This record gives sequence, C-alpha cells and structure tokens, in this order.
Amino acid sequence: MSTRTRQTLTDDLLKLMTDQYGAPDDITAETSYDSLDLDSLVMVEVAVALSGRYDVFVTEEEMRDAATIAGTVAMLEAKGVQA
Amino acid sequence: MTRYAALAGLGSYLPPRRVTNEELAGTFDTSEEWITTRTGIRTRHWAAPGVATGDLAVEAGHRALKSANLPLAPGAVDAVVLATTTPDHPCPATAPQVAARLGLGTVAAYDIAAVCSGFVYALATASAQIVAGQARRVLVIGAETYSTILDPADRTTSVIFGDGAGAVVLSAVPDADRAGVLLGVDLGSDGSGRDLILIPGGGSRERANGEPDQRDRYFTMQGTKVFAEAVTRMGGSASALLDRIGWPTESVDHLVGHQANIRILKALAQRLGLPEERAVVNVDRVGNTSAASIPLALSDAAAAGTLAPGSRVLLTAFGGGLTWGAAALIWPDLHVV
Repeated sequence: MSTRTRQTLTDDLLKLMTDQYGAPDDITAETSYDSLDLDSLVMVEVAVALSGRYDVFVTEEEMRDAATIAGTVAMLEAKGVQA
Repeated sequence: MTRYAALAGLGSYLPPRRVTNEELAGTFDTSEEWITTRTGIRTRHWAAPGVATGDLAVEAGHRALKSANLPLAPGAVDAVVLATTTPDHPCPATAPQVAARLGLGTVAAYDIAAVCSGFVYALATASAQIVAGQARRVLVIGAETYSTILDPADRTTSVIFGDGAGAVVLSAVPDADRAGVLLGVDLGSDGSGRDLILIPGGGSRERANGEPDQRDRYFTMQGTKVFAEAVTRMGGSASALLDRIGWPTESVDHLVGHQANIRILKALAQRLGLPEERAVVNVDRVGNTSAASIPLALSDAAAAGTLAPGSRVLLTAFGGGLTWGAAALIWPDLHVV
C-alpha cells in the first residue's frame, strides 16, 4: 500500500473523528481511542460509518483492537481499502 | 384486473401515562443525561396494569377506520393484520379478538411476528392480499405493550421501550400512479442473529432448557451489535428498494426509519447519503415502540404537517429475528385521527 494512500486514509479518519464524533482538534494518528473519553456508542457509529464509506465490514471489536487511527488505517488496508 | 394497495387511513393511540427520564433515572440507577445522549429518548408511554396489546390495537384500529371514513361494521375491511411482539396470549393470535371488538365481522385476522420489523412485514402481506384479489381493504395494525416484558433489572432495555399502537387502512385502487400506492416492498431476515434480540423463555424451546426461570420471560437485547446491524440492514434494504422502483436516493423527501434510537436514525441517513433533516423523528417522545413504531411516526409526522401530500416517503425497519424491510409510497391526502 502506498504512502499516499495511507496518508489520505489517515487524514480522512482524522477529519471524520473531529467533524462527526466529537474528537478534539489535537487528535493525532497515534492518539488512543480510550484516552478520548468517547461514549460507548461512538466506536459502533464509527465502525458503521467506515463500513458504508469504504464498502467493507468493520465491527466495533475491530475498532477497539485497532485502538488508534493509525491502527484503524492498517486494519482498513488489510481489508483491501484504498483511499 | 390489475389492482394496487393504497394507504387510505391512518390512526394511532398512546396510553395516557407518560414516563419521563427523570422518573426512570430514580428507578434504574441511571441518569437523565445517560438516557438522552445514548438514545435521544426523553419520554415514553407505558400502559396501566391490566391494559394489554389488544386494547391499544382496538383504539388505533378504530381511529384508522375513522380516518378512512369506514364504519365499525362487517364489510368495512376484508382482513385484519396485527404486527406485535407482545400478543395478549401466546395462543390464540390477538388479531381475531381485535377484529371482533371493532365489529368487523368474521373477516380473516392474523398476527405477524417480526418484532420491530413487524409493521413493514404486515404491510407487505396486506398489500399482497389486495394485489392478489383476496381483499379489497385491509386494516393493518402495529401494537405493543413492551412494559409487560421489560426486565426491571436491565436498565439498558427498560429506558428504551414504550407502549403504543398505530394502524393504517390499505385499499384497492385501479392505477399505480395514485398517491398512497405502495410502490414496492423489500423484506429480509438472518436467523443466525436470533440471539441478539431474544426472549429466551415462554416458547417451546423452554422445555429443552430445564426448569423455567421467570427472568427468561423478559426481553433481552445486545445493544451495540444491534445498532450496527440495524443501520446496515435498514440501509441495505432501503437502497435495494430505491433501485428497484427507480427513485434516486436524493429524491426521498422523508425517511421514516424504525424509531429505536436517534443515533441509529442519524447513522442511517448518513449511510444512505440523505440530510439528517429528512429523517422523521418521534423516538424522543415515544421511545422504541417496536411494531408500532412506523405507524406512530407516520401519524405524528402527518398530523404535524411534515408529510405533505405528494411527497416521497421511504419506510424502513429492523428488528429481532433478525428481520428487516422497507416500503415506499407517495404520501396521499389523509385526515389522520
């Protein structure tokens, strides 16, 4: 997977988390989801949103295992997602 | 002769007792803020002890018949279809009793069990009866008293569900281009997910599980898994139906999704690519009323003037089974009762 793709996906996810799910503007690709103090439904909402956006199947458990945006990008790439 | 099924009457009924989050927060060791942010629900209605699903169904059915200018008399309709998860008894079905109490004579009457998708399933069978020439008019009711199956020890389900009933009359018309005609229906199920929404006891499986436990008669739900399935399945069903009837997604004026949770409705609109404002919302006032949810939301939005005659309305629901479905129609000029 190219660096450009990885960067594009990372930027998309950072924007999604701050615009839609209340993550703070200083969130980085390495910020752990746990540290954001999001409510219990947000990881489900993000999983559902990513599933729709990239036409793959992402579960809440996979989001929790991915733990950060960088981890989520790696998980999406492993599912064949290209930005 | 080709016939189509069109919406000709709409009515609803909520039991008078309105239960606030403040009241529940005290009872269930939760907070008003938790309930509101997780679900968007602020109030729901619970039936008084002694009031059953059939009682609510009779009220809503009466109002839908009145809305369609039909009498409470034999010949008014040829069938009564009642969608419910909470029938008055495990046996017999509740619909025959409702038909009799409404004075509708010895018409065909049966229940539909598809949990929160029940009303869309009932619309599908009622419409098919009309198109097949088996009935000219059908009373379709969604009615629930979830307050009778909620586990008082489970705050996650106890704060979500409400009681209520909504009903429509479907009537045969000769052309497809009339307002109110059901232009298409999509239904689906996936029984591999049956444990996600489940009342473990009270059915024939109970004997295999040894000594019955009263708690097995309560409703259970795996909330986060259901959330994801609900958005995915309603989105898929709605998209499939839109493709089939040739409506571009952006042409949908009103998305009437199953009223389970405000965040599911928002995620669904987002999944379909529709602005959130197109989603009809009354879950904040009535909670999740399962099979009554869609007709209650329709009644509410029609009475408020939101559903203008001529607007494109897309219905979609998801429930235990798992089951899901969608239906589409051009809104007719109706007097909601």
